[in-house]
Amino acid sequence: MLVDLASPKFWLLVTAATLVLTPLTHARCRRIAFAVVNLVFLWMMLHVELLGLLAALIVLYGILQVMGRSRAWRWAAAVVLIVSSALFVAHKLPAVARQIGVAHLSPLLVAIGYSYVFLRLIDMSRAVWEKRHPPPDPLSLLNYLLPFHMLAAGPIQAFDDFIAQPAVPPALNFEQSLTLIERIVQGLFKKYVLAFAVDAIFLFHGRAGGWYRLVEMNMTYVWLYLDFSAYSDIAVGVGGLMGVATPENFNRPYLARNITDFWERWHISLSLWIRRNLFFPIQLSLARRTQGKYSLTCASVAIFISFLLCGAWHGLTPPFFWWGVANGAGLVICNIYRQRLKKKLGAKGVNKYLANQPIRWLAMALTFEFVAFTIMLIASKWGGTS
Amino acid sequence: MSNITNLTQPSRGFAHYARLAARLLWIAIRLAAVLVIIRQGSTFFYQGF
Repeated sequence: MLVDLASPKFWLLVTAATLVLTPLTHARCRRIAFAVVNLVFLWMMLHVELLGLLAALIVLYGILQVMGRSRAWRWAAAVVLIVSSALFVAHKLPAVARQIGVAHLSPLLVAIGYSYVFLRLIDMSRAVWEKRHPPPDPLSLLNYLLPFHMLAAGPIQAFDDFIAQPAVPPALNFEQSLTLIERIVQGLFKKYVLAFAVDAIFLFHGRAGGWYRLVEMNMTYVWLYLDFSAYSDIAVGVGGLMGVATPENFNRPYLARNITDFWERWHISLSLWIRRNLFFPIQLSLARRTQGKYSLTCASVAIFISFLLCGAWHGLTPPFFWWGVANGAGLVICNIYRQRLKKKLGAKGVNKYLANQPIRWLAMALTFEFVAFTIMLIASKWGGTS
Repeated sequence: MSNITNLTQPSRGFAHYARLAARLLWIAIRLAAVLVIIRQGSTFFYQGF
């Protein structure tokens, strides 16, 4: 079962969490209270299976201690990477889950949104084995990996940001509280009314043919934005009311003028995760091997591999592979075009080019169509009414 | 802000409360629409990752 935003229980928990956390000004009390809220939520979804999840967290806590404090950190890191990746593959491919005998874990992995937990776990593990932060205590481990308001569809908070957030956030005034409530309502309205309307009016889920496919391709992008950004609106609003840092995930992606710009506006927390954990390490490794020569080639290879893996994170099926290829290729071409433009026009010329309104509108339209096309590749992932 | 400014702008309070009422009304309208759709029990679902 996924997080059900239409459930009164969810909103009762949000209200209770806000009422409990708001007056707490003692850092440890706040962390305990938020952990209790997360446990209550997980209990509501998992019931007895929560005990298994807690056992896994205790084991993970032990491994992270070894990772952060012992010379055997490489072994500990390898165990975390191998086990979490195996669970990820099992989560994505039920046939593999059956083969390796973890099919019974599938409902649990779905319920906690394991794809997102997996990325948080990698981010946290890296921070620990690189000694940027000490291993988290059990409360931080639970609150970082399984924050109830970010389980459904992210955002993916960086472990650095989780650690950096104030232990006791400043109190909200009436205006700030109202703005956050408006954000939540906006999210609900986007998901349950606007996305619903777009689906009901424009989407035929591949049943329509001919020129209408083009319309459907565009409207699927519109629908996905409304639905997906709605989750982020709700998460940011709920997190803000509780005083729990929750990163922004969208910044008007329709205004993107190229695919690089798009990925800085769409699912921002995932883009930043990719940059931190895939692109930079791959690019750095390639640059070292080539002693700094061929920087554009190294960047291109790093971008392409990063987005192939990004596609694999979304789904281990051919459509997601092609989605990764399309995005990777788009980003590489965009990067090369930008470098060429800089060389040809110079800094002043590029500024003039960027300020040109017709070019801007054309670029926005092309980007919109390209993104809509890539989404169409994976549109069968979503579908149906419930 | 001095008292003089407040006296010379008697409608400021009204504008503030009118804006607040409009925001609350807009929240209520959107929530009502959400509840209507949810009660129909028919929403397109996103399967998550």
